[in-house]
Amino acid sequence: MPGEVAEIALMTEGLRLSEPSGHAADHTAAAIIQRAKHGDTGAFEEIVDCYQRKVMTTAWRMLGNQEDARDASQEVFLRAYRYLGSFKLEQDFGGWLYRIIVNVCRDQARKRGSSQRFASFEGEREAGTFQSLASSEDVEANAIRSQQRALIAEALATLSTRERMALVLRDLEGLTTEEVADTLGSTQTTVRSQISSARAKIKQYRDRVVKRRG
Amino acid sequence: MNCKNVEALMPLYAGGDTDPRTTGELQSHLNTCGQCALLADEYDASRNWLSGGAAPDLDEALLAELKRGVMRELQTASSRPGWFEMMRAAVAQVALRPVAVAVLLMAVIGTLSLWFLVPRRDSQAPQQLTEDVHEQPRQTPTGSELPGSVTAPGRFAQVGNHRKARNSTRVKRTEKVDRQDLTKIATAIPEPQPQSALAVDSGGMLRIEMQTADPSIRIIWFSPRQIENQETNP
Repeated sequence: MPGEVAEIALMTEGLRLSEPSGHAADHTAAAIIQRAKHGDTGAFEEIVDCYQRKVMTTAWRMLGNQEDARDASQEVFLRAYRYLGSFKLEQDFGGWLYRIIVNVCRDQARKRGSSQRFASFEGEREAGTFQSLASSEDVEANAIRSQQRALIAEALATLSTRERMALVLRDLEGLTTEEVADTLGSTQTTVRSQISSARAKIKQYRDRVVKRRG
Repeated sequence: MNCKNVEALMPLYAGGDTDPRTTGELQSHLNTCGQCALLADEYDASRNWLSGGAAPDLDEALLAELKRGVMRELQTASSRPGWFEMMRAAVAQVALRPVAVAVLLMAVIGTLSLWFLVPRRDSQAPQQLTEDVHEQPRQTPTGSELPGSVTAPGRFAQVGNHRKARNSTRVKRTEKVDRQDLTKIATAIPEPQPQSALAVDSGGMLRIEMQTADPSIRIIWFSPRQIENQETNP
């Protein structure tokens, strides 16, 4: 059974489950943002529609569980609405939003301190991830995916907050080193050092998992 | 470039974060070193493993719940008035209008009374001082009046005078005081003397009295005669 799990897990590798759906909306984003800046809540609702998947995914990756990610995402949008007046249309809205996500996740991580909760397989089952499944094959596939997600969440939990944020932005969100440094308010050298350390730790963790599976 | 350097740079090389020159050197080393090539493959697999499984399942219900929560919070925040709006609404209420008018009226009356009293107090102050001198003769701590003096021209008397200067009835009475009498009284006030001691023989003991600068305070003490002798005839 562990061998089968590993095999199916390898089959699902490289599968991007949730890319942000805002590519098409980027063209009209400026007009929508302009309306939202003038207090149009309908326009802001459209912004939420465009970016909520991206915000939620990033927050989940940074914080490691769904509950904290949902709270953080809500706070991200509320802050975005509050500070939308200071946003300049020449700026990249996605980058601006990333900075808010990073700040909110930092605050959240600081608040919970040592009681950091990363998703576990049991936790995901309790959260009802498997409720909408139709067949037993789906159940198995979803269980494998959830188990892998839990392992990755555990791997990310071995990193410090700064390392995790740098790695998530660089390797999972696909930002350049320069963009990561800009988002984190750090230098590129520092970011490279954090990413290097984080990648080494993730590899060590994965090596242990692979060794355990035989 | 040796294997140790390659191992240190491998995490950055795996993600394409090394500069072109270093990348070229690393690639040429990896072509010749099987162990380092294996390490590079492991890093690639690790990165794929991470990016493949790190994306969570986001169902529509979860996203809809998030959006509802955000919009609800925004509506609550926008419907919550600021403190200025709350104050303006409270003043606009009919019940609070008489209170606002009364407060305004009191402020006007207070300002006017201050305007009229302040210059008058300055012009009346010297007369007021002499009136108090007349009213309060100097007394000992036990209550008996001391001869040859009327009052204590000290700090406490002046404070009392300034307080009374604010009272308009007192101001009227002060005007009736005869200036000539006041001059006499003022000259009768003894100047504060420097400390002076008086020794009186009182039986077996020597009584020593000392008048301080404050006329209402006199220090009296008794001492054996021998000390007095020693002091006078060293």
